[in-house]
Amino acid sequence: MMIHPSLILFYGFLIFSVLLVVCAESWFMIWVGLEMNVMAFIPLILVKGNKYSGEAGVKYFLVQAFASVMIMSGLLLKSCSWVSMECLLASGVLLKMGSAPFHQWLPSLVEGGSWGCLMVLFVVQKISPLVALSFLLKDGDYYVLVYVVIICSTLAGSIGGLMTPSLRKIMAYSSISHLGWAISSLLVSSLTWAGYYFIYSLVLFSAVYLFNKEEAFSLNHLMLGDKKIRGLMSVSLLSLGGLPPFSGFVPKFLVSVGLLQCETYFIFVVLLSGTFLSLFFYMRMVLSGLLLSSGSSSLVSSSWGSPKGVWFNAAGVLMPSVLFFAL
Amino acid sequence: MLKVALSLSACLMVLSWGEVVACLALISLLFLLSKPAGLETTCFSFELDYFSWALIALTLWVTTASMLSSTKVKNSSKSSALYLLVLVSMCVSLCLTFSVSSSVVFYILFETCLIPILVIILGWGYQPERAQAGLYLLFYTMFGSLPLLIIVLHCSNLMGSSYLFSTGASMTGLLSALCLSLAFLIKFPMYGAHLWLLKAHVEAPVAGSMLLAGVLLKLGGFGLIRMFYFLDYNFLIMKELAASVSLWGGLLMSLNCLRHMDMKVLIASSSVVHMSACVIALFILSDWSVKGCLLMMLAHGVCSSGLFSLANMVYERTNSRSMVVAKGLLNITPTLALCWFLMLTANMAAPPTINLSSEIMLLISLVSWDLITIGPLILLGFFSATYSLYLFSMSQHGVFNKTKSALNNSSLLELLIVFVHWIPLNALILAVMFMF
Amino acid sequence: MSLKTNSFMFFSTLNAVLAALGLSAASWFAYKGFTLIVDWEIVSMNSIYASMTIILDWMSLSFLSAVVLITSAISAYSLYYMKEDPNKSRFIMLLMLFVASMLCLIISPNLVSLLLGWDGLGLTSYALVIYYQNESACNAGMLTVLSNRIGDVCILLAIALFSYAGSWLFFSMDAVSLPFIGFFVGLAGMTKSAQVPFSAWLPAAMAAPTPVSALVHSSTLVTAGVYLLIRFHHLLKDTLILQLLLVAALLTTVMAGWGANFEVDLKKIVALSTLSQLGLMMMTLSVGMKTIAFFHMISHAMFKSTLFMAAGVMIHMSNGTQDSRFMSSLHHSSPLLMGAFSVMNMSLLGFPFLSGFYSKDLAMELTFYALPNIWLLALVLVAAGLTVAYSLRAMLLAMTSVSNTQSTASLHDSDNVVMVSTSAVLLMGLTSGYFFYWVFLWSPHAVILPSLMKYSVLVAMLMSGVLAPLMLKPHKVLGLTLVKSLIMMSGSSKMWFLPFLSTKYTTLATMKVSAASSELLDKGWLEMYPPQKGSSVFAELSQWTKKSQATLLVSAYLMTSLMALTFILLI
Repeated sequence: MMIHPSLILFYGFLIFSVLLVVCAESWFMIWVGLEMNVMAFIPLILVKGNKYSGEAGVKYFLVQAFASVMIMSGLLLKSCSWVSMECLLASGVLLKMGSAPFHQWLPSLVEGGSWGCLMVLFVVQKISPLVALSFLLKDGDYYVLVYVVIICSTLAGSIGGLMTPSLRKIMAYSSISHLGWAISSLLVSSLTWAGYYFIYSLVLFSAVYLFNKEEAFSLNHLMLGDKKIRGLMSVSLLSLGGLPPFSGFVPKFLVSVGLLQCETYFIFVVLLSGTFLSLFFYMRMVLSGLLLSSGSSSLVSSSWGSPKGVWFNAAGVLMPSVLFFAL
Repeated sequence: MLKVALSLSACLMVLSWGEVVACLALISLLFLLSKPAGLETTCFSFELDYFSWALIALTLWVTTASMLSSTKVKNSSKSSALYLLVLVSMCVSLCLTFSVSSSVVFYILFETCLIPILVIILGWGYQPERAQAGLYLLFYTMFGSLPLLIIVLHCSNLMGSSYLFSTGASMTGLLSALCLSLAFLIKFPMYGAHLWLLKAHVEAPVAGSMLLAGVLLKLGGFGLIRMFYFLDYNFLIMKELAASVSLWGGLLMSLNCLRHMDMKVLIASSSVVHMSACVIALFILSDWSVKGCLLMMLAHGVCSSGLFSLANMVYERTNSRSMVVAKGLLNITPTLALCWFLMLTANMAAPPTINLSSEIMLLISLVSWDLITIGPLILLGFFSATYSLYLFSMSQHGVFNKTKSALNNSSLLELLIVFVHWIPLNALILAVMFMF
Repeated sequence: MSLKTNSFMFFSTLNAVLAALGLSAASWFAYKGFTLIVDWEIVSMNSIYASMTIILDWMSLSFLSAVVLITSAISAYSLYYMKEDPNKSRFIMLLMLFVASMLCLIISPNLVSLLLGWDGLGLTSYALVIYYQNESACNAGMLTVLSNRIGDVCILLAIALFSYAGSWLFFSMDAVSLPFIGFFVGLAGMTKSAQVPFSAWLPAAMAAPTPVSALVHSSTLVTAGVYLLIRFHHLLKDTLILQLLLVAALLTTVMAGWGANFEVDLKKIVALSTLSQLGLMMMTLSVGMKTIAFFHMISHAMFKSTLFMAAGVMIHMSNGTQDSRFMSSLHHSSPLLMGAFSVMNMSLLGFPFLSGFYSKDLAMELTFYALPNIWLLALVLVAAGLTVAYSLRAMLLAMTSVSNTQSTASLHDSDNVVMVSTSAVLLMGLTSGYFFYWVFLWSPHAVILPSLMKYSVLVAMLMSGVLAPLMLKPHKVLGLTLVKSLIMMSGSSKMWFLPFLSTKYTTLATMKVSAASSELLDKGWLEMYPPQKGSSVFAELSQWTKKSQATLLVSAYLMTSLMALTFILLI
């Protein structure tokens, strides 16, 4: 596929804006970075050029603009030292990343995006709000808000995805529920967060990469693939679900250890039960892949090279041995 | 242990049926010779005591037998190499689980063992219902293991290390006892959480069933034994609750067995009955009960795996697991009928099998725990024989279906499989103390 | 001769040799007062010691030699009886395993190692009873093995309770503090020897081939219970359990004797006679005469095996029918066989100087000496009378001169194998009483009884001997109406409805409980609540969240966010 030169510009812009937020020293710079981020991402949504992506782009713009308004007003009124205004700022940031209960826009938006665009939405677009949130957590008194957000994200994400047949919606909900883990990792330390987020995005990439390759957008599509791909996809999805031997468990394990050291049992229990529930929709996807005898295996016989993302997941099987030295 | 690990990884490299089976059989024999005297460090943080040693030997043995009995998969085109890979990886993960000495790593490996069996059931199962079976398997076991993760991490936080054999009891109270044991009770499975087992057994291919009943259930007992290190003795209510639910539940399960027409469900239910006895014994936690429980796990592991492979032999001939279809097999396949009889008598703890000695040990420990258990135990002992005989009588005795008269008698390989199961059951009685 | 035939002869010879060895060893051991114990440790843990033990004393050796002698005769006899069976080799192997388990039982004085023989007997007898592939054999086998299983469980629990003693050797147990132990041992003996609540299986086990019945009823399976109680007698001494056992034994004797008088199936008549003799042994045992009980067990084994072998030939000659009404005037066609049959019947009813006389007369008189209760004495007398009645009835049925035989029956004095094997046990049946009395019972039994008691047995036996021929047509003799006599007949010939009680209602109760458990728990609460309800609840929740996605308006999404924010702020 030819990459349009303008896309390079937008991608570069996107990455620059993320770096800007990460390295920012004032809230104003953060705001600038966030705005740049939105501006750079909208063309990426629109790259397909059909009306669904157009709708998604408009939705994204409206939501992000509203969030920016909240952030801006929160910033301006922060000097009045109203607690509620600080909450306004925080909820603006949370709305930007789409964590529950501010998540309603995310599942409806994803139907318009391609897998590549969604990957950016699920991973890159959340870095800068999360970093901003980590700044807020440093000095503010937001714990009630953050706890509510963590609980809501985990539960809403895992329950929301249970019944939908659309893969993109499922992944959106999965990303919401992982956001719960990511925010709670911020409670532990930034380093934990970085580790969590890095491994999580790699695992997510390995799954989304396969979806993209297979052009699978609904649960039924998963049955059609080649046996090998279906097997690898199942591994990625179980890994994403956080089943212990796979790499997806490692970031969760890091966060768990951290949370227990902070003695925040309640959050931990909620997170685990959310994971338990969300395992069900991962299993729905896995089932369609693993039932070897069903489906015709030769419909899509792609000449398909070595799946890099999947080797990464398989590496998670070796994790226990790594942990010997860690513990 | 290092030798075992190395040769198992060699198995993974070779990945060809004959070599793997030969290698596994060799390792299992070698392994039997290297019994640890006490708690022995083998390499890195792997430590073996008699409990884990016996269970690893069981794993190797049952895996070999299960590979022998899945010739049908081997000869079919349906990803036989992958099947072998899954079996070997299952064997490896089980061996590691039984020998590891860190609680956190134990937890991870404990969960790891779930994946291969899930893959086997979903990939090579019989009916579309295997999807449900897989879901039940995953969700029942995950439900228990999440509290376990919390408590394991909490424990290692409190104690400063996750060493399994540290003697200081650090956890107290009912909630932590529940969290610690829930995963293992579900895995066992204790009565009440046994539905996943029946469903999984019905749908699993032969090797899956054999490994599931033979080794995977034993993870529950092993885990409980290890986790009791973390508990102080304030879990009396839990103990009595688990014991009584298991006792009566085992009785109900043995009654339920009399209603099944499906051989595999019957065998699976019978393992629930046997495991319920193990649950009680573990909670009693006396020397006799723990050793009896280990012996029972070994005996049941080998015996039920043998029964499942026999059920598969019948399935390969009649294409049915129903005892209505497979009737009067004694007339057609007398040698197999003899095998059935031998395995079933072992299942009902007839002498001279180690099933009997384990049953005696468990009875002793139960009766000396509380005399009131005598009543249910009488019924349990009676009905556990009844369903074995019922299975034999229904499937082997009677007038056979004329359309089945072209069945072949046993092949040499099948006799070997039964032999492999029957010998340890009967030979070990000569040296029961060898296992402890 | 083929291999299959050879195997029969081989085992016959082997057993004969063993019998000769055993008998001489038994005599020597008895003479020297010598006991040999071999012990092999199996488990020794926490001061509890389980072992495989072998005891050789005069008792085990003489019993052992009786068993192998009978086995020798019977394996030769089966060559004739199973001639046309396709699975001959399976039969002889099972038979030998059966005998081997009996031998294991005889020589082990240890509750744990006893289980090897005890369970083995139950299982191999099951395999033998279901030897014929028909439904009645299947049901009979189930009844047999499950009744025996009750005994197994009792032994297991006795083992568990005995663990406090540290060992399971019976001679190292003196005082028993737990009352359950005696109860369980007694119960085990009762199930194996088919005492009253558990008698249903014994006639049912007649579904096995006749050589098996001959073995089961003479010396192996049913005597195991008596033997166990003989060995454990010192544990039960002076306990309530022995009194209960006495009542059960008397009831068994009377019930079986009564039933045998109304039974028409030849094999079942002999089976019921076994049952009544078992009752007699148990009775003797429970009043404390364990050696006499053992003595009667041996002599009974001898004549009962002959009876069964003769009955088997009679059945074969009558075209395979077991109905004794189709047999008649057999003494014309096969005088030798019927000679053996009648002599052994006479021995069974205690005719002077036959082996039954020595043991039974002694047993009766010692019981009279020891029994305290007049009602029980009356029952003993009734039982003695009934024994005479059914023995004479069986002889009369077989030898009436009215020809009831089917026209196609081939009557003859059968072949050499049968004659040799039968006469071997016949010889023992004639002499064993005297021999045993001479070799093993050294101490003379002085029985002092009032003359009324002394002669009452004889009178009862003579009276019933006179009445016996009349019992062939009971409704005429007793002058009953048809309905009444039918009720009486059905009750009597059905062993007082014991088979119904022990099969129908227990099975029904079991199946009802299991139906309830499977419907309510396995397919009900357990299936419904955790898995199904859980999934449906979460599915509903998910549907509910899905509804919140129904709109396309961004403003709606933002409104929810604001509402959530306000809500949080209000907290």
